[in-house]
Amino acid sequence: MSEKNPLPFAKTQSRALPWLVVAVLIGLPLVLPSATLATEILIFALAALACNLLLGYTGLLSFGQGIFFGAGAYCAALLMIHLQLGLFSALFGAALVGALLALLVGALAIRRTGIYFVMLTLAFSQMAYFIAYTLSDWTGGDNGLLSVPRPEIRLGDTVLLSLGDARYFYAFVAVLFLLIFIGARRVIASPFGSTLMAIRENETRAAAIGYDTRHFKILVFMLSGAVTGIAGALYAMLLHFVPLSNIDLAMSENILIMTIVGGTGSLFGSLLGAGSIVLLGEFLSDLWPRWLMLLGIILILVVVFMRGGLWGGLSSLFERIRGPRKAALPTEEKLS
Amino acid sequence: MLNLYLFQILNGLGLGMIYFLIAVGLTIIFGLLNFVNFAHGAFFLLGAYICYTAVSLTGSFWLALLVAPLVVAALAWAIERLLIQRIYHLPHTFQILVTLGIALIIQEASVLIWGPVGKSVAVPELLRGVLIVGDFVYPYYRLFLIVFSALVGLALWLLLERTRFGALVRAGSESTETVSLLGTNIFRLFSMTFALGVALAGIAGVLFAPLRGAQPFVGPEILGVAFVVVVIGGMGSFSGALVGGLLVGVVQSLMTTLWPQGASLMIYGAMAAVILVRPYGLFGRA
Amino acid sequence: MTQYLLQTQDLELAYGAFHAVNGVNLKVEAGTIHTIIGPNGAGKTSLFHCLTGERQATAGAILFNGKNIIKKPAHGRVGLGMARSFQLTSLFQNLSVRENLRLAAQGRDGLAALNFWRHVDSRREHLEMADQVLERLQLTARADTLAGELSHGQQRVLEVGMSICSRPKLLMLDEPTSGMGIDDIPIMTQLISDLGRDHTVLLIEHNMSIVMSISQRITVMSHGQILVEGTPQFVRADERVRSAYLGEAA
Repeated sequence: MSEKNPLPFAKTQSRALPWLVVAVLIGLPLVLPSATLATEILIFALAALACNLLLGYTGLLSFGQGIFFGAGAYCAALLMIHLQLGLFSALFGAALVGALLALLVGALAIRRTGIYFVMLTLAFSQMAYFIAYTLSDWTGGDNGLLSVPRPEIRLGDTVLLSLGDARYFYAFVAVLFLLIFIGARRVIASPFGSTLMAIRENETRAAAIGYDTRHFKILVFMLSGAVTGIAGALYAMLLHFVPLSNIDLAMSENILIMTIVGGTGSLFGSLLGAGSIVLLGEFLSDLWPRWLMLLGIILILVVVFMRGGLWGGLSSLFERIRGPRKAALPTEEKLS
Repeated sequence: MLNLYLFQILNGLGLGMIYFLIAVGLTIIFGLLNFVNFAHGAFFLLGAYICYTAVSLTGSFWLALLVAPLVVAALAWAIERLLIQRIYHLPHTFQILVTLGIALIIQEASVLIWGPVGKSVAVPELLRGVLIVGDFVYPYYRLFLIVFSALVGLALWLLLERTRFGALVRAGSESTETVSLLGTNIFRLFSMTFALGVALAGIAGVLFAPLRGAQPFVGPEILGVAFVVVVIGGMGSFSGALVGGLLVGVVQSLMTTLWPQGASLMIYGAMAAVILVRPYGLFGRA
Repeated sequence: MTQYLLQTQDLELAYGAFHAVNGVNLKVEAGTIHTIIGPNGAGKTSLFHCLTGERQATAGAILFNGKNIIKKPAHGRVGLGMARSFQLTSLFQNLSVRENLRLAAQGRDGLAALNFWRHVDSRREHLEMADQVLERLQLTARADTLAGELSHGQQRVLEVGMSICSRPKLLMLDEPTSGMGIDDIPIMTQLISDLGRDHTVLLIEHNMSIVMSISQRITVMSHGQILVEGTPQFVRADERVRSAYLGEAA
């Protein structure tokens, strides 16, 4: 990212935010026509959250998120189909695969900065797509993987809850989302998180004060890859199907679009972004097959008028309602 | 056997020249404007579609070859003045996002206007038929493709190296500040350069139309290849775009006989390798 | 054993045929304020880049506390006790002044920064260091201001302040008064003198009055090599320096 970074950033964390998330999680299936739609929103919100860790907090624009999303989906599906692994094992496997691929991609991509970094992630994304296409014995190629199960929650041999019902699956995904959201907030508020933001603000300075920025970038990549992998796995369970399109460049672009439209200034933006894009697609695609044109217009409008995305727009609205903050302390301006 | 390889190599050269035209446009825009144009592929397909319409209306491919790039250039010029000028100062993230948006709009608009199924464009009368040398057969149109692209490339080279405009573009790629301090209206230069770069993609689209028709969803694929060529050849380099384009075109053509999926894997792998080992590409400036 | 905290041996930085640093044997004694001066193009900045790790020297050795650190990357040198400031202000513009300093304090403590679970404030010593430095810089009232919103003079002071946070033995300051107004310069001079009491300070400076007033040792560079080295009086009196450089100024 350039020195002058107009991409909005998170300031201090509001304590109210997790409660807002809980409210949204509870309200979503009530407001929307189907629990499946609500689940889809949460899944992409996870992917956007992971993308935001890279983009909003570390300043890394990655076109490779689709790699981890698709790989997580394939991995979970294959583990469940071929090894009959259960819910949590499949999710864990997906997270692990996501993290390992992110380690590989990240370690290579961060050798370059700026536009070259972006191009590298783009190239890797394309390579992943063609590898998935070629390994059709494993991935089903163009047809994808079919009959992906949705395992129940079990403790040993006892089935605690079957997730076949869309509402129960939504509840599971919602709890998972909340846990990951809270976890991500903790990471942001940690020394590690503060260093990420320092790297975003001024990488040279960060290195000069003692941080090996490569380590931090690779670690956040791995974290992002793991969460995106989990999102992919959940998507596979939602659809009972893993299409090839999970791993293509368009998926990476969609995730980026959701992240930026939602707003990079806060993790909550991922919910806003995923929600708006998924709903836009869902409702408009029936009305108008060319709804992507609207998406294109929205992208342009967001960049030109509302760079903070929906989150930025909402928070400045909120600030305007709340009134101006107290004035800065008067100081002796000897140095002026 | 040899004939097959010769055939593929010639195909590769033709494809490569088209890639060159697209890539050199992208690289000129990046060189001067430091702007990553993710809509470049969309202008390519627009060129093909306008060619189709022009041919449908007038029956003349040659007229289309003249008109389509001009229309595309005019559109690009308008977009640059209205929108792109506002975002030069923003980091690449936003430039990418805006041009992605433009690409989407152009793509969907194309479907609205011309329908979701591709349109075919007939090879012009003059160039129908094949060249026969011994037992080697090759379509005239594909030969024309190579020659005409080379001529466009030459004209472009002359424009860049021998005209005042070209000098300004090259100087501006080094330092826009200096150029504007010397009295040039830098904004007009930007608009014209953007239009020129996009027009080249438009010409490529027109030339490609008789081969594969006009398709609405080829934008991303074309854009991807353009990036590969620009990276391998070197960002901002004319000769890089040429050599890179030909390399990619020939490799891709040869690979289609040997291992089709491998072609894409190879070219993107090459792109990644170049960025990692020698980021300035073959001819880029260090 | 070694009396010199920092020492270079035949240090070279070559760009192709051009030697920006051409066989430099710098000796910096612990506890001194040591200034490097020289006309533009003399190689001061290039030498500085080698010492901070921003550029990899092409030949020679850099001894810090007797150890050759020439292969150590920039971020690795902080842990050894070296810290630097930048000539072109390089702060975390969108973060508060206190956060800038806290990050600098945290940077020394490599492993602590990798902690991703505990809250930032759980490492009290980093916050305390930041507050102490705020006091020393007289910027306590501006602790919560964004670094980008400080005046230029305050930013330069913060620049220097960030280098103290890692409790270094050696402070390397690159033209600390660069761009500062005439009223602000005494504040910086006072700060550097004050820092000189408990740190070794190596600085590049152009402002001759500062150089003469606070330096204990001066190294004059020219054409990538050391021309003269000694006390301010010695350097001032040297013919070569006078003719090459000091003629107009001070």
